[in-house]
Amino acid sequence: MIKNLHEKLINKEITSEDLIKEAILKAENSQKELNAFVTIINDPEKQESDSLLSGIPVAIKDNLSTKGILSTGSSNTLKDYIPYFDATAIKKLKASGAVIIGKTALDELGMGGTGLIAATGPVKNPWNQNKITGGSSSGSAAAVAAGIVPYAIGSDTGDSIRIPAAHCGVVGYKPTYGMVSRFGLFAFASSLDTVGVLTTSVEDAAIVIDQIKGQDEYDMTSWNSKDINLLESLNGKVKDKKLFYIKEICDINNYQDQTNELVKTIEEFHQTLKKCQELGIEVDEVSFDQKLLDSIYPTYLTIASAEATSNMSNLTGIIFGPRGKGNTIDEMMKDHRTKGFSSLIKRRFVIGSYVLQKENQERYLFASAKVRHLIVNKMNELFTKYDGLILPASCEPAPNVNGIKSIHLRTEQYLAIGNFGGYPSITIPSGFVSDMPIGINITGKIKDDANILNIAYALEQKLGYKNQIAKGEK
Amino acid sequence: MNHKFTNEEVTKLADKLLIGISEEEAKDIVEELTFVADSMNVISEIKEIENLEPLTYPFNLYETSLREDDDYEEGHNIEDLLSNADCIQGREIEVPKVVG
Repeated sequence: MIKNLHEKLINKEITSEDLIKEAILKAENSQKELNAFVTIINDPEKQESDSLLSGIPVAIKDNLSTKGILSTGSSNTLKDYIPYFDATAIKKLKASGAVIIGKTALDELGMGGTGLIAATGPVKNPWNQNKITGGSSSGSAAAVAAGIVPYAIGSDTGDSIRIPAAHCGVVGYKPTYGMVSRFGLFAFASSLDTVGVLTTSVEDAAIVIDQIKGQDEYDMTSWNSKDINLLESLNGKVKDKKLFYIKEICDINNYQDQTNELVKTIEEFHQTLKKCQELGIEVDEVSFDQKLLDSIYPTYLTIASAEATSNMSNLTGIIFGPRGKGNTIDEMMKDHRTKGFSSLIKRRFVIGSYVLQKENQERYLFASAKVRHLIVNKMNELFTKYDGLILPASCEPAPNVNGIKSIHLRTEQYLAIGNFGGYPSITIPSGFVSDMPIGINITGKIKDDANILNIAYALEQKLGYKNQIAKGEK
Repeated sequence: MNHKFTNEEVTKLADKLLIGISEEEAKDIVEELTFVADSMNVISEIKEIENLEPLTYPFNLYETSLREDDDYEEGHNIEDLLSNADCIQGREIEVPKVVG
């Protein structure tokens, strides 16, 4: 879609002004139904460039710092926060001529996987407003799925790009950890956080990350990726590539509660595997220790909560954010934090604090970090034999908004494997179950993004959901 | 046998974080912490982790180098830094008296 828009701009069939105006109008008109935006920018900044992104509108997840533009992280603790600098990814986008038309809502500060926990209210799924979008990049996924913008920037700490992509029927790509600088991204769990993109095609995902990747002196975990050109690597040649799937996740007999939607999602997944084989890709089944699979969610919860508790201790309302009431600094900070955080965030912080207590570290935090190590070792070993892991992005289409239990918002979180090892991981739409989109996910070894995207590119052509936009129901 | 979490305990933990929680929120936290504690029982049965070090970053391939001494950036502009604070006095952030 981006290449096509670029060509039309070059040939003067359309103007950038018209594209931007249309995107802003669509965003405004969609707000009542989808509530995807925290801020819509009516007079966006424009820089000329010869890049493919020049003159094309984009939406940005509201946990990325945008100079002079409200950046709330969808939290009341930052409801008036206006950064005085751009995140590195934003700086690069602007230099590429990309035009930021809005900031999208997220599950508060990137935590949560439903799209229901933003300070501005729930984000609705463009395919069916009674369904969740998934999160935390909920507004970015909805904005792309609704055709408001051709692409939107997101972030992914556990599966926050890849699940909303699946639930909204779009492409969601989390690059290798450190490929895109995290400078200016509101830190949630620094050892897992990754900046990525939501698009309607693999090609567009490659184009965008090519523009925003690169080593950054402000992020010591970023690395030099000059030798990687994702767009040029897309040739669709995948004969003799090798993928594996995890038996325990993809075998319906392994599930006690076999809902119709689960059965159909697993069936569809096996149909997708056949299509991989038709492309000449070898697909193997690999068995994982069930205990290890069951450990992914609690391990993720423990590590992410501990890192979040530490990272977000700066949210005090003293040096930024609304000042709390009280006679002492402690009272002011407590008032600010008590009123500003949602219940989910408070829960995460208390869990994080508990596992960080000296007497609990061994049993909780270190045990989880060892499980992380074991999973990464196993994956790295498998990646010596295989190009990637293929899985259903989610074992069901987007659930109903009122079907979400308040406590364990998501327990099925095996895509966090991608964050444990910093692996490149991409979700692409693969079909429909109960009239809602579903997706498949491919995860590969670190810095092998070009290979993973190329496999997804070939499969996307075979599946036929490229450039898909939601046909919504109210 | 697992430690049994109580509302009082998690309320105290939240208080240390300068976060106030309701009875309902305390109940939810007890429930989730109990889930985490139960999960750690399962994890402790995974023998292969015994000889592994905790992994705190995805991979260790960082390329860092020391900068030259004269290669530095100007600091941040103080007005920029203060622009998001609610209570300032001149070039300082105003807070209640904390000492003496």
